[in-house]
Amino acid sequence: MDFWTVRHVGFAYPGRQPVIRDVSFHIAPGETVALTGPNGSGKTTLGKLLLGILKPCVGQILVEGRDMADCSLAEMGSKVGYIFQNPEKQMFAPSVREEIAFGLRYRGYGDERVQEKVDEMLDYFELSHRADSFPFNLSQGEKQRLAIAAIMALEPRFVIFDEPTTGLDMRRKDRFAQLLERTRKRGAGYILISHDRDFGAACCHRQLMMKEGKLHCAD
Amino acid sequence: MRRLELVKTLDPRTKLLLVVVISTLSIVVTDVLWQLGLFLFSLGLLHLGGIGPVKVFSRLRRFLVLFAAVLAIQSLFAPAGDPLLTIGSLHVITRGGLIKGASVILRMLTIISSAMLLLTSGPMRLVLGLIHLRIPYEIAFMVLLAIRFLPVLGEEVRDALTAIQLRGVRIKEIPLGQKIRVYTYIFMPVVVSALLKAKKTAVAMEARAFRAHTQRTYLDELTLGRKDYAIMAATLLTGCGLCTIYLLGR
Repeated sequence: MDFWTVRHVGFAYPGRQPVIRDVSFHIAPGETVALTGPNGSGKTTLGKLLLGILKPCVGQILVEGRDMADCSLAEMGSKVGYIFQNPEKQMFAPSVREEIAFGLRYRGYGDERVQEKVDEMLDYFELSHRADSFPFNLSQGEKQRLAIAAIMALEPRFVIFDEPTTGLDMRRKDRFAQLLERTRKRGAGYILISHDRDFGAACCHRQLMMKEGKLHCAD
Repeated sequence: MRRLELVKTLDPRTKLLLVVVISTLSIVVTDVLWQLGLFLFSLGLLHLGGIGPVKVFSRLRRFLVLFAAVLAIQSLFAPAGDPLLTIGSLHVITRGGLIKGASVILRMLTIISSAMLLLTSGPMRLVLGLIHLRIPYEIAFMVLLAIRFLPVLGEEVRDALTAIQLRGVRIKEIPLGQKIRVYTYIFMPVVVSALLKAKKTAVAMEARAFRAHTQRTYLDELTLGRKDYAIMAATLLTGCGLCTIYLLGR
């Protein structure tokens, strides 16, 4: 069964022209997909539709055969991780450590397991020295790493990365590619929303190209 | 179309006076029928300004929980008249309590809807109006910024709530204690983001020489026309008249 089935989906923000027009595709479990296209082509909107942050105006999105209209955000959040383009949009805890621990606690992990997982993430994302810092005081790159760490700690079955390489230097980009590899080995899939086609092609099985709200090629 | 023009082209100071008089009257009068009259009058004015009742009620919809809470609290803690619902010896809902609750809600509705009249002026015209009322430019500009940033703050709250739910937290299903703890998380990014935005705005304003010169000039100028004076006079006279009639009639 496909993880996502998108059927003739269209979306427009209230009072504006459609951003997504008659988009249909399938994504299999564990698949890695690059969603590329120029700025304003509807990539981020499509990502938000796949997670249920936005609801389609027309068409239907199924997750594991279930209509997404019947799924709550929390339900989707427990299956799929979403890394926002602006990492500040997903930060709400008073410290870096707490930001990573938050989701783990609500999943019922014991204190010891939470601590262990947080330390592992802090170490992997090179944030140990900022563990007790206020997340909003981090540098842009650190914020981005924290946003990814907080989601990856939850080991979602699918991750949507929205422009994750923006602001990363070459070394961090390589490190991010390693993280994608690690995610793939864990058996999880991901969607890489990016206008960097080369990076998308190098890290994903398949590319979906968006242009003016339409899916132009799916290879 | 012409009616829309009339209200829209009114000087913001005239609209401010209308808002002050209507709001003051709604505080002075406690009778529910008077309150209802004032609310309907505000709705009429908004309709003339191009904001129809549907739009007004859709904006007021977000206060529904507050209104319901006010009605319940008034009914429970200020009982009067015939009991409508009694549990044991406790009068949970009384006729007088309901009327008092309705009066408080109507007062809130009147104040909020009359303030919406200011939305029919552009924010910059509103600032100019305040400056002409001898309010320092810095304070008037702060009002403009507050108007500008209110929707942004709303967006921050929604983003934080979305981010929390995306970590798998089923807000509707968790116990009240946990729910309260989760909601405290929402305020942190909102407050921090407001402070950061204020800091960035201050830098951007100073980079554009804000307050560098004591004398300011404005692209648009406000002038009070005949209709403004007429409406101001009519508003004051009607306001004072209604107030007197109400107070004498009690």
